[in-house]
Amino acid sequence: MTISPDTLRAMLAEFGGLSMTDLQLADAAGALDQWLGTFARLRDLPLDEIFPANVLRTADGGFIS
Amino acid sequence: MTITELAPRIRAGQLSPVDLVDAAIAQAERLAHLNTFITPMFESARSEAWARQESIARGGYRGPLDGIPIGIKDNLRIAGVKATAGTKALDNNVALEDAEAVVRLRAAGAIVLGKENLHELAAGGRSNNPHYGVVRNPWDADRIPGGSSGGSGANVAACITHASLGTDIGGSVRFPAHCCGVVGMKQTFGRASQRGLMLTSFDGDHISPLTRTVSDSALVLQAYAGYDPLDPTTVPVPVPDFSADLGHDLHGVKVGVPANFFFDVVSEDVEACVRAAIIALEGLGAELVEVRFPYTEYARALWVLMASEASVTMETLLREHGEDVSEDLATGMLATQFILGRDYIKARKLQRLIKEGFAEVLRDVDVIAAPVAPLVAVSSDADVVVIKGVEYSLRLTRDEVMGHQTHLGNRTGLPAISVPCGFGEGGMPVGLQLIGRPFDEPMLYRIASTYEEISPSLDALSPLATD
Repeated sequence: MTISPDTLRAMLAEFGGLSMTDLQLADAAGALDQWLGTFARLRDLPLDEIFPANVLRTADGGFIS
Repeated sequence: MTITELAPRIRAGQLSPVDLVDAAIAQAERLAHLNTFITPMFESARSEAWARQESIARGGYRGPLDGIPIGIKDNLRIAGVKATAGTKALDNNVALEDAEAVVRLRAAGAIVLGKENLHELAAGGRSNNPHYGVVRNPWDADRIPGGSSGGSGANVAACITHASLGTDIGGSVRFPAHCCGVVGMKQTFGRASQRGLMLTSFDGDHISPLTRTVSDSALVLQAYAGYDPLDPTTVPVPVPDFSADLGHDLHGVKVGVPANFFFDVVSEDVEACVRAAIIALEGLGAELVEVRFPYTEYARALWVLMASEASVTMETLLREHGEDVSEDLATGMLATQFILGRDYIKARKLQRLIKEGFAEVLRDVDVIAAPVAPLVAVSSDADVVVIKGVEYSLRLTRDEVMGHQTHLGNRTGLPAISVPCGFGEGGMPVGLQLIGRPFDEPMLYRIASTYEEISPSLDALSPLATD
């Protein structure tokens, strides 16, 4: 997913004096793609059935056995 | 001379704090082009030196740090002095009181030479500060000193300060130590107060020492470690004598050698130095044990934690002074706006799993030996690095590849030290990283000091320090 320069400008406007030129925004868009890739990989990590040792597991039906 | 060598001479009146400070100032002025200071404090340092000299002469010697010139990274507060954190947005920010670590070091007699330059807002590993000047490496002025505590690492390597206090949130003391050929110790999280540090992370930030030797590191950490009742991150555990086991042999010590993660992203020259150092540990009596770390293939996702925290800790600054902030930081702040709450919590779950993996490993070994960083210090102009045929960008991404081997020390809270272990490409220093059990800094100091005596880096000084 690539964030459009217009979206980035609108987001920057939320930060008061933060401003970037069109060239900087194009540059930033590339870097942001890397960041978004990191977030997407995090969301896809297969950890749903893996629990840290301190978490109680419940049996089917939601009762602690 | 090291602090360990200077201390008895100062105590005996053979060396004067005034002469030490004058020599440090002369060195700083000669090497001003390294851009290691944002705010030199030479006049106050001279005044403090005179006060210490007179006190010592009257029998008021306070200990090994008395009369020693030190540097303080500029994201740590000193009363009456501006604390910029390396950003123009804070150029008028004058601190009202000393950081607790500074209070304790000054109580030990240390003399502050100045506030040291850093990567802007401690948010990167190159210290190419756009507002206060690019920090230069005393081993090669065209290369980075590492970061974010670049000014601190360079000052120690250039023999300007005898010790400097940096901060480490992802490797920012250990990486400059590696790049500059000095010792950098990131103590256990909770071992020392964070009070007075301009925080980026609530549970990953450490105030940590850079020194020329392991014994000096033990002396500096000794002076400020310990519970702070006003800092709830500190833990009321006893502070051991960090110097007690220095130089002890390594028989009975088990060293974990990683079979995964730590050597996955590393250049050939760095890997060769580190593996030679590990073999040397075996020669000193240690037993080498191969170890594996589960879930570390996902470790890069943990940067989400620090990015999320930065989005909160830096938000006000960016909203009020956005025009004074660099493009790098602006891009980073934009990225953090896309992190969802469930992303943060999933990263915390991953963090917990990785911490448990390290705990399992450290149940069976005393320490883990690994590289500090994937590469030696790169050129200050480098935008991209290539490691084992893979290209990594250094721009606008917080150069996180440079923290590959160090950031888990912060995410786990474990103590970790970088000690020089030879030279790589271009004759640049390489560091060996030792990661230990919680609050077991004495074991790290024991192994690092014993290894230091046979390291290829022993007594090596940067070319600019001795010109």
